[in-house]
Amino acid sequence: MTVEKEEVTVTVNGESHVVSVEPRELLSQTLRERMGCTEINIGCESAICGACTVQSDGKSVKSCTRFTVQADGADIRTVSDLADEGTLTDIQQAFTDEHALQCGYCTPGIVMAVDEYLDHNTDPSREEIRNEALQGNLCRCTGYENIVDAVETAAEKLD
Amino acid sequence: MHTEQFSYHRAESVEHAVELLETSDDARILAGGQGLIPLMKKRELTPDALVDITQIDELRGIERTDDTIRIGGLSTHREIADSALLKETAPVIPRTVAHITGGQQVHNVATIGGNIARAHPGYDYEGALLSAGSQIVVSGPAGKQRVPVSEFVRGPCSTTLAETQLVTSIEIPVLSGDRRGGYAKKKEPASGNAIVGVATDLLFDDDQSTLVKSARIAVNGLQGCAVRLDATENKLEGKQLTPDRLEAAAGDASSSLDSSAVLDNKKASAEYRLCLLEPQVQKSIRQAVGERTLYSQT
Ligand SMILES: Cc1cc2nc3c(=O)[nH]c(=O)nc-3n(C[C@H](O)[C@H](O)[C@H](O)COP(=O)(O)OP(=O)(O)OC[C@H]3O[C@@H](n4cnc5c(N)ncnc54)[C@H](O)[C@@H]3O)c2cc1C
Ligand code: FES
Ligand code: FES
Repeated sequence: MTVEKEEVTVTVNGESHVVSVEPRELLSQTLRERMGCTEINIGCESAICGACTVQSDGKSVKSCTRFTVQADGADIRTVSDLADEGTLTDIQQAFTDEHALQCGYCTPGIVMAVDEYLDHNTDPSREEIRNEALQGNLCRCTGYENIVDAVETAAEKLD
Repeated sequence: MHTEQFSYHRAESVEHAVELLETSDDARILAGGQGLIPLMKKRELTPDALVDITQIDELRGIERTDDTIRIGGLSTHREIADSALLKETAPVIPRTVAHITGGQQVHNVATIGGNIARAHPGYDYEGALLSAGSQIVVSGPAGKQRVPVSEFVRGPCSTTLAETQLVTSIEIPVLSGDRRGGYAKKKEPASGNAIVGVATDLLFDDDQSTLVKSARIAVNGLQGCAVRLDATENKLEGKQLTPDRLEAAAGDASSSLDSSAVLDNKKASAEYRLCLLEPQVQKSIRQAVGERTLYSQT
């Protein structure tokens, strides 16, 4: 089957791009393969693990389960856009301080999800951190305890 | 991981979406994509065209009109969970959404229309919509139709929707009084879907009263479609709610059910599902009762 390509305009980390894509091209692919955003990690490819999480117009989404055509006109941010010239954000710093990562594969996705979550809930309980902030992400290394600590620490700093 | 090829069409209005659906033999609607895209990756669905409905403004919004609450079919889980109007007028709905897994990433884009159109027995909305007495509003070539949710879902992953129809909104009747909702769910660990999910919609006169004016309790995950728990409802309706009555009502949950229709598969055996029913019914009713004090009858 030959299909028409679609022209998509998308802003990625502040830079505007126009790309011509097959409708089935995934946002994760466009970001990694066309724009070099290899900070987005690919795990399950089926909307479960959250390793591919980016923010689209401020809302976190799993980029492996979005077609690039759905992002037409959107403003996409990846984890690389958070730090300001090498100065980590409070969330990133808390992940470092609390040793909230081992292999780090899950981290970019978790940080982007938590970054959105703490905008809505500035003072989450540990239960809310587990059930809400981290609900959409899996970590195969840490056992989550240090990640929960890091989110708690970050929330305290942001207050 | 790719899907197969398809052509992509963006619908500008409901009529336009219907036209686009009519022009292809095997077109599918694309809403949040959180159900559809994983299925397309697995080749369980290979549509040759997708009709993206997310730009259709008339499918958005949650509002109250006279005696009805209208939830636009494109309302996301996030919008529904955060809706002050729903928390007040049909609290079982936002209570249920809080149990949908996948995280905020899924809640930000997945829609109520996509959830009910998929009609997966492990999904959570169907029971809640049934308990709240909802109608599914559907549009197609022959115009608009209202279908009660109990008729809309025919079985596991099967609805009365024609290929050229879409869910435009969900309507819930407004009830006068103090309406309370609860949802209790036993999750299947891997998928997060419901093995048993119990939705409770109770009506009282005010926030102190313990006289149950109406009780509508439905379970999803247990059978191919969500079902009302008639025996439990009858034990509660028109009665003063006491701790004993609450337990007795939950204890009766399976008595009005066709136990041969209980799902029995690798996710959970029928026996296990039935064991989970009573405690989940209790939990769900207790959540709906909330803070009000229940007195034992002397
Ligand atoms: C990791 C994960 C966990 C999940 N956990 C749960 C859970 O615990 N409980 C739960 O209830 N759900 C769960 N879901 C499902 C999710 O909540 C969505 O409801 C589901 O993805 C469908 O909504 P959607 O908007 O994404 O629809 P889509 O994926 O876009 O569409 C789903 C199907 O419905 C059709 N469709 C979409 N919109 C309409 C419409 N308006 N009219 C007619 N047909 C339409 C599509 O053609 C397709 O066949 C989960 C999803 C993921 C990815
Ligand atoms: S790779 Fe996208 S959710 Fe796992
Ligand atoms: S640190 Fe390895 S997956 Fe989370």
